[in-house]
Amino acid sequence: MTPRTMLATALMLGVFVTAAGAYGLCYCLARRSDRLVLKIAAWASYAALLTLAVAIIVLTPLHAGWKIFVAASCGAYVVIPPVTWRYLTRIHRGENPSHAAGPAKHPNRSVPGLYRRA
Amino acid sequence: MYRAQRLGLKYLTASTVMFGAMVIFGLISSIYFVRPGFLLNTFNFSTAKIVHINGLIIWLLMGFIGSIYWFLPQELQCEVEGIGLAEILFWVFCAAVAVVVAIFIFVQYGTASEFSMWFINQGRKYVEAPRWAAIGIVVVAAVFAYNVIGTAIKARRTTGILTVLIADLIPLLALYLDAFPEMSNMSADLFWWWWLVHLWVEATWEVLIGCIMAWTLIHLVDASRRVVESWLYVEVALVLGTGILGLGHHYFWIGTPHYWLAIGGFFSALEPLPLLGMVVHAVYDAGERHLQAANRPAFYWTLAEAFGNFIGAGVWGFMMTLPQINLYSHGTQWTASHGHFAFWGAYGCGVIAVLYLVVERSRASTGLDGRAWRWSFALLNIGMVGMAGALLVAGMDQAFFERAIGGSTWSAFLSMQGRPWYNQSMWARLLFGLIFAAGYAVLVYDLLSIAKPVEARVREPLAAAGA
Repeated sequence: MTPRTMLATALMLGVFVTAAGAYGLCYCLARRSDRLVLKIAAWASYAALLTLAVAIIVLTPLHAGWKIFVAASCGAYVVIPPVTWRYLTRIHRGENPSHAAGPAKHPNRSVPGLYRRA
Repeated sequence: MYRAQRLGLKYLTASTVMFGAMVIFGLISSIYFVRPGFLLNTFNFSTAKIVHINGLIIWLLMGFIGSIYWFLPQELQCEVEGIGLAEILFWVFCAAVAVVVAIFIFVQYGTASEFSMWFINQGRKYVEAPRWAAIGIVVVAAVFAYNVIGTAIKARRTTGILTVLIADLIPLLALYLDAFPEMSNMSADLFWWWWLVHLWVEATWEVLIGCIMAWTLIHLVDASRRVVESWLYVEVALVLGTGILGLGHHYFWIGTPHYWLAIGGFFSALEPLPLLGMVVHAVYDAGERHLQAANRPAFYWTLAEAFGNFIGAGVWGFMMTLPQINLYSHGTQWTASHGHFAFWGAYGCGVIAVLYLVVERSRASTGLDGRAWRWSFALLNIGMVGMAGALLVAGMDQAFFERAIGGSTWSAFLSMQGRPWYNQSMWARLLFGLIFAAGYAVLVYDLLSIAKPVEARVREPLAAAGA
């Protein structure tokens, strides 16, 4: 590994995870607001992640095991946001509606009866 | 208010003071990089760095302990068992910290003798406190564990969050005992030392902050306990699953067997995955609340924790954790960049969120959403991002020229100190450090000035029950 490829590889790995974070963030915002631009941003982030994965696999001198790991990570990163979202939706379902939508139940209170004995 | 909550307030106050001490000594440490002759032979860089790093550990530890003393009686609706002993030990703890800091400042170091180890500096990185103080920390931790477990036994009940916390207290105490052995074999010594440094931070502290953030969400946004506990179990399983063997990335270059390269690289490369799940959770909850909460400062600091943890630990960590990269980046300013960002995201933001929650609950809530917290939020985060960015550039320059081209020689290290990118990055770090310090000053001003105490809101639990 030359000094240049060391830095380039490190930067690609960092941007790879940043793209995964951007995909997760845009995916959640798109699910929340249902706006097309956010959906496009989510898939653009994932496309960037795939491009980086290909670049890491083809261009860097990392050992084969790490390249397989990066390829497998692409599969993990694409499913984490939807799976987590579904899990969160499922565990929130059936809760008190005040926990599932809208701002906190008592937005102006300071001491919500926490000091009383049950 | 319960006595334990008053004690929690004291711990959180002491934690904020230590946060300030850490910032001051961090600023002093950063000056040596741009003015190498600064305080030469009066107060050396090595000592300033010791106080900075130990200050980091103590402010977070005090923040965690204070948070738990605050939440525990609310959780079990009873006073904490052995609270009198805990109150005495708080003052002993503070006095011990003051004495140790005074020794570090005025005595600094001693000869290579048993006396120095017991009374001046233990000589082990990150746990430099002299041995008597290290024993004191064990006593404080043991009493703290007794307080938590004893209270659950006294109340004859527990909750999911409390059970996770109790399970975590055992390794928290046991791993600190690793600060004591003296081994003449450097590799063996470092092997066990990393159990203390890494496993404390990436296993037991992660679980501690997970429990504290779970309680924070319940009290901050009325989050459902079932939801929070379900998520806590998942998060703890994922963080421990990746974090425990992620320890291996510290074993790369200390004389341990070769297989640690694969184990450490693999498990630490997995660490961003649960952090992405946390980001999804943060966005989900923020959307559910429409970014609104009664306590906006605490809410925003909670969100900052999820994002800061992902970027600081996940992105910064993944950049440098694979062995082929780590061979060059290990121990450079790149590592310092990762350390600053990850600690801030994972723990610092969480403790500040609790500070705001406690201020709200112990005083009137009016005036909590002022301008000062926004300034401190912006200044602290801009300062941290700037410091991490500057250190990253310096670290990459160092990894490139000093390590990869220069071959990690002493000559390469010295010539590195004159490189323009490295020097300019060090100036930038100092500048952003000053911005961070300004953010700290505004934070303290805000915490002291917002929501003045209202006696009626701070009633004794028994009096309230009687009414």
